[in-house]
Amino acid sequence: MELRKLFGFLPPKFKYFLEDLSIEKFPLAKNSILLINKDDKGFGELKLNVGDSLKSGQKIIFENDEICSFSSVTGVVEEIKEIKWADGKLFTAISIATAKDDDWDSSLSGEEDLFSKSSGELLSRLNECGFEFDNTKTVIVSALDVDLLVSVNQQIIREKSDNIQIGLKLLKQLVGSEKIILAVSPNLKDIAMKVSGGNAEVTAIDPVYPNGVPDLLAMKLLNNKGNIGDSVVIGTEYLNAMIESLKTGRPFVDKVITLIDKEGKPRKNIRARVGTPISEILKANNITVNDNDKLILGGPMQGKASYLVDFPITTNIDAIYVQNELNINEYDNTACINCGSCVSICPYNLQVNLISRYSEFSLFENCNGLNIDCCIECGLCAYVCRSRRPLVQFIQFAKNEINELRKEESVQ
Amino acid sequence: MTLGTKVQKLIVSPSPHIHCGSSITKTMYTFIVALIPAVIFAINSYGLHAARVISLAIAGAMIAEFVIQKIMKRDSSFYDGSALLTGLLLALIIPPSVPWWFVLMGSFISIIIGKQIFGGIGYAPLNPVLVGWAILRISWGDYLNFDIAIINYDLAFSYEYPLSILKKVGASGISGLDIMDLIFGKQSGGLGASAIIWIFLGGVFLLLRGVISSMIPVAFILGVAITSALFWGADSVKYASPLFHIVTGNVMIGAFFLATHYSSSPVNKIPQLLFGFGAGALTIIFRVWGVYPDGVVFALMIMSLLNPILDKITPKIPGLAK
Repeated sequence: MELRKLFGFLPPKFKYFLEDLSIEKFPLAKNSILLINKDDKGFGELKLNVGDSLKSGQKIIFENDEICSFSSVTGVVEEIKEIKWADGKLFTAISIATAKDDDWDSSLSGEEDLFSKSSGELLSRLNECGFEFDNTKTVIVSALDVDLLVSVNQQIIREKSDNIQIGLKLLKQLVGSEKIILAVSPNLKDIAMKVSGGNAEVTAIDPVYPNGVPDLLAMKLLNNKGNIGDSVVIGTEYLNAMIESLKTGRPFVDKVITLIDKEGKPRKNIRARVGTPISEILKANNITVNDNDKLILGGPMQGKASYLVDFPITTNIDAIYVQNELNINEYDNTACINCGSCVSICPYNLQVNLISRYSEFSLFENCNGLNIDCCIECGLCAYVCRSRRPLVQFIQFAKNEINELRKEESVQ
Repeated sequence: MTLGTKVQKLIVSPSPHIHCGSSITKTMYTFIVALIPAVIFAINSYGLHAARVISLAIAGAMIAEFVIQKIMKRDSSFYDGSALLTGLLLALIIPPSVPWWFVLMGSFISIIIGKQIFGGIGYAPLNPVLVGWAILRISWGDYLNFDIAIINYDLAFSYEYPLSILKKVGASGISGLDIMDLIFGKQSGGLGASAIIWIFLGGVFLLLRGVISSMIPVAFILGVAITSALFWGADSVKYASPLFHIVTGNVMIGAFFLATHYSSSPVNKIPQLLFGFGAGALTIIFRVWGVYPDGVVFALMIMSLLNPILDKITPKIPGLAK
């Protein structure tokens, strides 16, 4: 996170934020927006109209009665419209005028004693609450966060260690203890040992970006032990949400996010209801978004820049970062000078210098030959690029084009 | 409340949203700062003649860059320091006594034929400085004859080029030369290239700043040392010692400043080793069997031509089944 020192021998490291940053509960907002990606499931129209009232935890269903999503709040639907999210995908946005208190859907019921249930029952309950979980694979529970400056997963293992303990015990029941790995940063190893209680193998991971990125984490942990494809990485937050859902019957509606202030320092962790507009959170914390600022949904390395201030919190946003106009880095369209910084920093040893040039000149087949699929889009290459080329965008563009080509080929 | 009604001008861009702060300009000026000791040495030794050559070369390179980019309607890279660096490096490997048009010709050739014809910075398949020098050497070789280049200067050391003596007389001719004198620049040669110790310190500065990889310079010097050691071991009367080869001619400036030119050198570790080692070995082969006393420039140009092939040796991708 810093420039090389004048006489520093080693390149600067990208340390994760490791301090204790307590989670603060954010009150329900007056308005909520649910974002639903219909295309993912593709069952047509929603069985929902403007003026309908929703209860917290109520299922939102398609016309053919397939479950689409869950309402995270109680209230009346005000508007349904199509909107593009920060990454350009089309979403259906449901605006809800939210009631002050939660009125939970009466069909939701929790379990008193989780350990008396059979694996099948537990899995089907998890599925009902919207969790996708495959118990045939090795499970890596990660207490590391994916992006820099984010401290969600770390904070959950600090504050919700009882739930994590139950979670690991349940996972043992579901997949067997030899197939559970708890990955933590060294400073949390004591807590992790206590929490695991022999139910999981605790591994300390060097807290240097991008070790927390799921694919890389799985590779580091399992490279010598077997097939990486046979593993699934879940964060401690996800595990905590699974246990809370099993206990209460409620779906995953409370998301923890790290609020990063304009100076680029994590200010606090906030537990907010899914659907809370980001503008409300920023307003409550006195962070003003001015014109020409950048609102980043996620951390500084992998977050998506948003074009609207009132996007809601969704389950896959880990942080909110408003970047001051002065701190925004500019990309350039200069040619690659072949300095090799990107190649030497890439955790997957990819030939980023060639890939970016092939992508720039539409030679996507060549990108494919250079294993572009291995890229985890950690962003280190663009971080160190001397020509300030948008390398991650070149890679995303090429990956997308290759996927389109493959789709066309499979149709023919 | 309706989503999307509150319109605000926000900046959007792809990730990542932070940058380490490096840039082409900063990189180029790091190279230039690393060369300042050699420039001071050159001006100290040869006075205004050195200043004249350096100024002419830099001015020529920058003017050529500016004019050709205007003609070709390209974005200007006038201020990024790359043309300045090209001019400066060219000046440091030619003697102080050359006429003005010779220096300008070298700069123009470097920038126009070496760099801009291929598309500008990042596209040059050969180091522009080497292209300029090589064309000068072949076209007007008399001016680059280091034997007589500094004959008119009143210096405390022999005006003869150590490598020429070696070529003509053999190892016995150079036995009188003190290695320490050679290291501190008491030898005939390029303006700044003969300041071995200052060039070396500049190179160490580059390594510490992380603008060059340590592989190429180390492999280049190793290549020179090992190849010359083989000859020396075979016949130490005829051939010079490895140390002599390292501290004469363009080897030091070649290792740190010429071989590391970005677009003409590989980016992967093993190819960098092969590139450096190959260039070092060829340098000695050219010095021993070639027509010219020094072979650094031609050795580097030949290895640069192999660069795309060498760079196909890529490291293993972790986790990928072969």
